[in-house]
Amino acid sequence: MMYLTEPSLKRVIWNQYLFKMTALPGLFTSLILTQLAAFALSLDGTGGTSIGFDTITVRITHFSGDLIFYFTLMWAYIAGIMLTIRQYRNADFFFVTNRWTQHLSTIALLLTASLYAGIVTPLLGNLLRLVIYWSHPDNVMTAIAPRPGELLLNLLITTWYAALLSCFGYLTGMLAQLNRVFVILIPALIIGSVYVQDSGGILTAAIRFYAGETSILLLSVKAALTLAIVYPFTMLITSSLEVRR
Amino acid sequence: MNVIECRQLSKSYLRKRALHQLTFSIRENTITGVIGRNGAGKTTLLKIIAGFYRPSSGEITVFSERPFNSMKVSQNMIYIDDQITLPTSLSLLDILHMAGRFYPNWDHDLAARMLDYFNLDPLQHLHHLSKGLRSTFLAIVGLAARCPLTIFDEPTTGMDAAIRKDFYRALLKEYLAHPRTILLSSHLLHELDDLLEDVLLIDRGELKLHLPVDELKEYAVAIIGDRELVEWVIASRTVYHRQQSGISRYAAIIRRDEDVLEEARQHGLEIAPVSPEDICVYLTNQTKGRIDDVFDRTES
Amino acid sequence: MILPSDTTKPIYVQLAGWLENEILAGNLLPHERIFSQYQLADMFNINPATAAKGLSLLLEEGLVYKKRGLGMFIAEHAQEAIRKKRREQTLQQLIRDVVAEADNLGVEESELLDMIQRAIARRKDDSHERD
Repeated sequence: MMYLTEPSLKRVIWNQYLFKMTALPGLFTSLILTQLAAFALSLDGTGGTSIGFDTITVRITHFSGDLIFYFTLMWAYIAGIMLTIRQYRNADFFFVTNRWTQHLSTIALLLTASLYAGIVTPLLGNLLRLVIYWSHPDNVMTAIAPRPGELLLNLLITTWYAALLSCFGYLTGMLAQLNRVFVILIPALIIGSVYVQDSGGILTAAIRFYAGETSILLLSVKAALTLAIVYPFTMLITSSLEVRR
Repeated sequence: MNVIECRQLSKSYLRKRALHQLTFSIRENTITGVIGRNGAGKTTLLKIIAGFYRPSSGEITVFSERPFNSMKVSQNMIYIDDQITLPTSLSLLDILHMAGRFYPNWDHDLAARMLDYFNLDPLQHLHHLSKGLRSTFLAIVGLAARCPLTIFDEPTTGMDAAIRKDFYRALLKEYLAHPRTILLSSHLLHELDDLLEDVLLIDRGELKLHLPVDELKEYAVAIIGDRELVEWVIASRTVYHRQQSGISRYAAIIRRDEDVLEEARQHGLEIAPVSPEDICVYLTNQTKGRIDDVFDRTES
Repeated sequence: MILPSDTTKPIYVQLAGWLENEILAGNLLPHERIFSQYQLADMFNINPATAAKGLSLLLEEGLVYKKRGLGMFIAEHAQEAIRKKRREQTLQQLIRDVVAEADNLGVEESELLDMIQRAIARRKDDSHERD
């Protein structure tokens, strides 16, 4: 008799993680493409004003890495949703997994991708500054030099935000797997709530909760707690999902 | 020792009853054919065993555990069908390497040699392969994984006859060298009946038969000869099928009964065996009348 | 290897028949180990359980004996026993069948005996050609 192998949860999660890393390079390439697009769009500046006196016109143009940042967050949300697609989830079951190890390995993947985004985004922001600086030699620049520690701060902030967005994307995608209704319902609820309440609804409240935070430590705690609550919640509500085509 | 135990297993969806009160067990290290028509519930049953679907009611254990969400079952089982899709960026070789990471009994050399034998380029991608080659590749993975429970659900879809023969041969050789419990569902029972040990016949979600193939081969007999004589000899026995072929060749297929056989022989009637495939067809007959009736009616 | 196609008999019975032929022909000698169920399964492309059934038929008739842990071996007088059995059961049955069939076809006794003698002669010629 062939002896039964006792599965090791850690091993399976690790192997599933490796499987997804090698099988889904599109996750990272899509981030690069998104950021390049944002980069290109940022070269023209993200806003500007014009002030004019008699014969002098002063044109002020803002440049920032904000666009890259927002595009990255958008990518993170979509990445979270994409990983819940049936085809990808079913592929896991070709090898060894159960629903828990599937979730955990996917979460590890999303966190890795978030970290990757967190590293690349600030760097790109700096690259943007360089390009702007060198491409406009005759102009006056202010706040062009990066402040000390800014890179690390941006790294942390971007990583947390990407992690949060991808977590919500994952929740969204999984809810859609539970019931098609959610595909319409969730966006409707979120966007609708912005108009219904005076203060701007859930969406604005959520944004204020995270974005209004001035301490990186507190932000980290808030984000970590959110992940620690939302992910297990997602895992629990979908633990009976069948492997269907 | 029973690898799979099933008691009153049922599975239903909103409108449909897919499986109804199935009770059976599968012994360790046997090759069992899961036979039935399209829509009979074979795939549903196999996917419940694999832990992909959850039963609606009843009990099922695989390796003494409930298969849904079981790591133990997933670790020691592989399920191969013709619908499997894997991420497109992986080459065949990547898939083999990945399988090697998950399955401790994986034999990479065997897989590589089989790939070579069937002219599969390891650097190709799964979604570029024709249906037949896809099935072939997936079948190779299923065999090379050497899982204690190996499930093949219509694994030969798209394979031509020569490749099917090779697959069955490969399956047998692997089974002889490394015994394991194999469940094999297929339409083509006549090709399998030497390979199988047991047959599980499913009809419209219910378990019709669970027998060794040898017994199934002797389950029914055909009594052939003059119509009236045949009908008289079989008396009031249940007839699975009647057929008139030629002027004086009328056949009635009944459950094997030594008394009737002796009677038939004495009256000079011919006795012929009924193949397992035929008996399964007769037992699961769903059609109203015969195909000929469709045409006959339009003529009159 | 393919068993002579006789669809009326179960595979394991045909297999037992083949093994008996091998013993008769002297290819399998007394106290030699007979093929295992796995070897037979491989040779004939059948399930080993079926092969095992064929072997157990031989065991039941005392044509082979089991040595614990070592497998099955040909019995001392297996060849004789088979010959005897064949002569009685098989040949008699065949003769009965031939006679009945000849009767059905309206073949006369003398013609039948003639056909049998010709078949014997042909077989002698064939075996002389081989030598």
